[in-house]
Amino acid sequence: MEDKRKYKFSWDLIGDIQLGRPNLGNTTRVEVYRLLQFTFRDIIELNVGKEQTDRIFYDAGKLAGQEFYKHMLKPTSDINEFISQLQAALRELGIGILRVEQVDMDLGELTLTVAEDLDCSGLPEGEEEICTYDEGFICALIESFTGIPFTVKEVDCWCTGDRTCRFEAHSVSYNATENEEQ
Amino acid sequence: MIDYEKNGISYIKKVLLGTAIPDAIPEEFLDSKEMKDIDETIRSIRTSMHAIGNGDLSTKIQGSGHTIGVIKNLQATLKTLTWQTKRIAEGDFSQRTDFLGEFSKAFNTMTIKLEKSIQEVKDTKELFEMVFTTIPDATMIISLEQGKLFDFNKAFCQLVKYSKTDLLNKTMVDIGFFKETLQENAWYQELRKNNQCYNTKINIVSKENNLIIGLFSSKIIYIDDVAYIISVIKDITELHKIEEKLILSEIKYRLLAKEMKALSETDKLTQIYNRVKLDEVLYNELERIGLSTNPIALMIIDIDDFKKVNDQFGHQVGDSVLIEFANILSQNIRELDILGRWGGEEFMIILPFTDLDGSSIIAEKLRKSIANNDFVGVGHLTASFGIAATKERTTPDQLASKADKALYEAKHLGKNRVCSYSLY
Ligand SMILES: [Zn+2]
Repeated sequence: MEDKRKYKFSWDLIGDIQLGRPNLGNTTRVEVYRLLQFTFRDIIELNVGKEQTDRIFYDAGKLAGQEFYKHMLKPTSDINEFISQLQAALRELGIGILRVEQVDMDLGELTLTVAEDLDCSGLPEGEEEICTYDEGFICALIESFTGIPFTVKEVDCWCTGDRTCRFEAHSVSYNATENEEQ
Repeated sequence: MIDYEKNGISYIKKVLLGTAIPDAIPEEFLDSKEMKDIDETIRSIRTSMHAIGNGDLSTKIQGSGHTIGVIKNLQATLKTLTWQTKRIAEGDFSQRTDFLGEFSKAFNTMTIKLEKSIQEVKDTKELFEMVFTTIPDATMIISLEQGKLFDFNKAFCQLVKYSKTDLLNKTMVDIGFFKETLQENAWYQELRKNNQCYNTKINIVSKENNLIIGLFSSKIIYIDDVAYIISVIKDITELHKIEEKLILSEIKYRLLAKEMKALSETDKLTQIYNRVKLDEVLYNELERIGLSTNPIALMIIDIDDFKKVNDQFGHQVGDSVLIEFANILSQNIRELDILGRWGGEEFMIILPFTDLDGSSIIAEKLRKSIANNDFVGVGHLTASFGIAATKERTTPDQLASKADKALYEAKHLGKNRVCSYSLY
């Protein structure tokens, strides 16, 4: 199976948009994005179940985050510079308005909110947070920047009636040491 | 059924509007999920808004739904603003707030203005540092309390001959900076009193133990609320040496001038005044008469038969007679009288505030002293005295010619006597 990979992701797969879309250009509508994502979600869920689907979206988001970090952000070692760049990029690309509530790199803790989120803002309210793709995406960005593993959990989501998506990121290694001590 | 609805509405009103509310939902509504949702939501709104109102942003807001979502969004906004404010405090002026209307505008303007004023402060600081390091005069900043060096420039190191590492964290006492405690204390005192001093001369000591004379212009400044003294020190050591030399040569010149004047006024042989000085004194005294009615007398004394002394004993003996004669005269006159050699064997005494009677008494005393003196190598000699006195203004020539006339009369009457001539 693994030898026969058909679409191993690479940034090249995105293609030459200027060449390919000389008239329509580099924009589309949010409906199209959501149509794509939620039809995928539906079919995958039918095939592998709810939990497995979440995992797939989390991992896909992570892959996207890694590639996004590599291709859309300038390398920096300053956390504040990193956040500024990320804010600017997410806003410019229409992904969402990223805001920082708290950053403590010593504790390995970040709390971020994304308003007007591409995935979920405006969705009907349900029972569960839906932005697993975003979780993976944000996780990969932070991991790429820090070089250490993180977990990211969406604690509030538009879909649970919270008007804004709030993500909490924790350094895995910090939690591990903390647990060892206890 | 009517009662149940009524009670429900009344309970909702109570939890919405009341100050104190029941701890839990009444039992009769426990079976209603809708009622429980409403109750939980209102309680969550109350708790979260109360917390936000008190600035507590850490409360986990319970529940869900539109209204709770709006409150969560408000909490997120306030948290973000808190974080942004912290970032700004750390110097990140790139922080901007959008989508908050008037507040965004005010916040962003504040950030931009803050950045600008901090930049201005930075610029001023940089300018100060630039001036401080490049100023050609030695400049140092020391703490007011301990005299500990806080900063100094290259010129300062050059002046005191210490290296930068020599001076780091040292106090003025450590490096034995001040030569004299008195000067140092006076300088501190003036600074404490006036906050500054200008061109105060203070002696300091270099690393090689050389004395440096510094001209201190100092001012008390505050850095992070601690008092410091900033001093610009001009090295005037060389200037001071030149000044000292100048003063010394000036003193020498004055002494010389005084000596020369004395020489020009002194008779070389007898060491009493000469005719130049007598003329000057006489002129001044007669000028003075114009201002008062005090009398003045003029006495001319001539050694009798002095030609014989020269002929018989030689000029050297004659000279020693003149010296001895002058000594007798100077020992027997008053302090205010002016004695001088008028020429040859003639002497003159100017007697201020003295009339004819007074001067006659003095002349008679002098005549007797001379007549009784045994001149070395010669024996007894006599002298003739001519006096003229006046109370009114007259010329030196007139008064002298009258005294001369009296002298001539004394000679004519047989010498060794006093004759006088009154002009009043
Ligand atoms: Zn979400």
